[in-house]
Amino acid sequence: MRRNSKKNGAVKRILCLVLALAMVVLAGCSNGTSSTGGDGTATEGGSSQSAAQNSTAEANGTGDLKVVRTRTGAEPDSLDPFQSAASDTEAIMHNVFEGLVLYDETGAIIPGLAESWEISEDGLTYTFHLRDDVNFHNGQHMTADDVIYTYQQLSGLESGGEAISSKFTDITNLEAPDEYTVVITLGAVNASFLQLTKVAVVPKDYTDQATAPIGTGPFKFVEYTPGQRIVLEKNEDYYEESRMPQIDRAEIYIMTDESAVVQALQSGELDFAGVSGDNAMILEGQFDIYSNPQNMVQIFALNNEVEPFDDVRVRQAISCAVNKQEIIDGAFDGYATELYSNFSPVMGFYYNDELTDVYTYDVARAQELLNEAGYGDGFDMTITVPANYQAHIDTAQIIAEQLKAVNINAEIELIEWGAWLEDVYGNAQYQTTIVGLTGKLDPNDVLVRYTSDYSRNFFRYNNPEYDELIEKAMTETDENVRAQYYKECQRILTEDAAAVWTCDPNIIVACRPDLKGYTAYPVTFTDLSKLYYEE
Amino acid sequence: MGYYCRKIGGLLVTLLLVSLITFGVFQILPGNPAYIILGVDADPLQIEALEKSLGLDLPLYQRYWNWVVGLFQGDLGTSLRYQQPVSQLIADGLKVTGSLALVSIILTVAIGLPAGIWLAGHSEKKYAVGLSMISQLSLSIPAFCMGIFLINIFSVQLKWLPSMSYVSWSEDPLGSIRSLILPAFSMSLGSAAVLIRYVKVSVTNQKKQDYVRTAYSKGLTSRRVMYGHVVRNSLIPVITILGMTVADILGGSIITENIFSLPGIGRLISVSINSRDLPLIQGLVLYLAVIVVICNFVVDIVYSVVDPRIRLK
Repeated sequence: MRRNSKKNGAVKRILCLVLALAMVVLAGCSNGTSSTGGDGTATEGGSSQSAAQNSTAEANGTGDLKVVRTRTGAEPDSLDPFQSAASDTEAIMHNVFEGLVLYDETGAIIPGLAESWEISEDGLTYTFHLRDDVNFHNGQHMTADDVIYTYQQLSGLESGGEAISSKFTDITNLEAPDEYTVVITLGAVNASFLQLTKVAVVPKDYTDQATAPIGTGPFKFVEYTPGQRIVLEKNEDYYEESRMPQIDRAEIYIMTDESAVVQALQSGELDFAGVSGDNAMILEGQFDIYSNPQNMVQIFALNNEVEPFDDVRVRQAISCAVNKQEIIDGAFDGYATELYSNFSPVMGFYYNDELTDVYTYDVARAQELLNEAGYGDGFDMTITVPANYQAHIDTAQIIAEQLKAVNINAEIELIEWGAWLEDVYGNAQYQTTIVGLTGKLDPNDVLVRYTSDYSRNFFRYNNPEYDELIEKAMTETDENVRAQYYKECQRILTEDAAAVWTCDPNIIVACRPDLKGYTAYPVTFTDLSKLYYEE
Repeated sequence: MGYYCRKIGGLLVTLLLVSLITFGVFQILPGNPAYIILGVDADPLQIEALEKSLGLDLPLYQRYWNWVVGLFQGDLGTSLRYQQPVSQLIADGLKVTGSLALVSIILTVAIGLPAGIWLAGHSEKKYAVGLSMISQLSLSIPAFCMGIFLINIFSVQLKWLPSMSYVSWSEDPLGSIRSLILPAFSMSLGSAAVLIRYVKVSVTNQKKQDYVRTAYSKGLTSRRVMYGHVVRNSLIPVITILGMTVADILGGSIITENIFSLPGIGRLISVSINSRDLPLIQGLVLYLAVIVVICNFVVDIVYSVVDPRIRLK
């Protein structure tokens, strides 16, 4: 008997210990609730601010700072605008850096650091008139010297001879007639040049851009913690009233897990974030959902050099056998725009809208074309898909299923992104693949990918007529004629079935209902300056 | 002394082999760090410049040799992806993973040890079967699943605890603990369940030993028998398991850290592999090997404390 009661005593002690521990944990929780409850009320528009936020707590300490928290899916490649190429990085850093020209939400070019410009008759000389009221984030006043320095770096002129970007090697001379005028001379006509001058202007002789970036934009860079976040704050000294930020601080969290993003939105730890179509449906109601075409081309690329895709009839047959609407519904939950060439209708001015019925979904016609090409009994093929893009994987599964109707047996091979970049993108070691090509403002940047001498022409498309048209468009200064050339280019691609262009997946953003002003652009750019909290 | 020398010698050989294998594997894997860092829209000139600045134009053996020489000078090199010293990145990651490990291990022991001991004494009770089943269940729920589940309850529904990002101890101690509770809990449930089973079996076995009967017949109270003899003798297998768990948690959990967006060792591992960041991977492999060896070392020492009959040979 005694033994038993003693044993119960021991159990009681253990239970007490567990209970005490549970209380410590609970105390931590309740403590948090009460302290952050105060934060919620202190925050501007903080009606749905949750208790579970630490990030705003520090900001709130200094008054009612308006903080916006969002997410990016990848680490920045480099904070230095000249060493960065990733569109995810550009999406954030375009708030910090600005060029001579900027673009608006339709993709049209608008004045930036240059308030006006003239292009000479021969299309070779560009004269930019700079604003005289611009300061860099370090207080330094911006003059023609900084612009000259920027373009010297980019073009390799007088900076040791090494160009930073091959796009600027056309520049043959740079001059500053006065403090606020810059004259850029090109060696050859380049119709895309004005659009290129959206590249960041950096302060002269400043070399710490990779760690402490300094630009002229509406937001200043504050900090970057690898694996965690990038913080920007309002540039109080910003020169353009119409683009003056209405929020004080932006925190961009690096989050790789999509479901974590959804939960962070729901728990109030993020104010807005890009989400996938199925998650948008979950968040609808609690959040404002913005869905806009993003000028991306999801492409089912067929290696034009590899049998049987070297036969145009086989490519045409596949174009007829793929039902794009099913992909849009199945892989993107309807949030996408159907495409007919390597061009999104968002780029209205250059878009060829007459290609919608060149290849419609028609299994009988596909079979006929395959018969003609001698593949009436079908064949085996592989779709190589980067494993980190779920939408592309889903698309591959739908396509593989659709191709069975014409006896094509498609096997899906998932490969890691790094391997995809080298094997598929770099060396065209593949049969077919599915990937998204991000949007560009200049039609040349989109269509030049199919020219035979383009280093990353992984479609291995080769058509001298096409090359010539791209060349002609490049030197054409009349925008209307140029647009005609690009429409013609799209037609050639479609008729040759250089690839199967499935859709332009929408960029879908879930935004806290009281956070307004979210603006979509036809390029990846998260414009923070237009965001504001509803009073 | 000879024991320690042999241990350290073994460690060095292991590390050399592991680093050689990692180096080799990364030559076979397709994927160029410069391509991966800059992505699809890279300009050819940018790639060239980056490759040069990363030192990727040097021959392979030279890069390995430079790394080994640097290592002996205490320099782990510079990460390609982050452009920061590898040692700095690992130290930063360790702050997060280390705090996470500390909280997880405290939770593991606090749950596993008492529950195991209690179960061993009450295995005949009906509700013991229930507890057994719960431990079986938490053993079979993967950490990521538990993580999402916990976030849903405590962050989304109740809004008690944050679900993302790490707050450092020095900045905000309370916030730091709060940010670690959910990830630590989702990690420790599985290991606590393992611990429960080991403790239970071990204690049950010890209780059948002759010395227990002797102790009782000597007139000792059941508490003294339990905590003076049985538990102490049961601890040996438990310590082995705990050592493995500690090494495991300190090695960073890729999945848990991703779900809770914690910038720890696990996150570094996944980023470094995906971006072919060889110096960072080498540094991490070195770190992992050292952690495992140290944990085993500590386990050996604790053995001899718990059971003085065991001597380090």
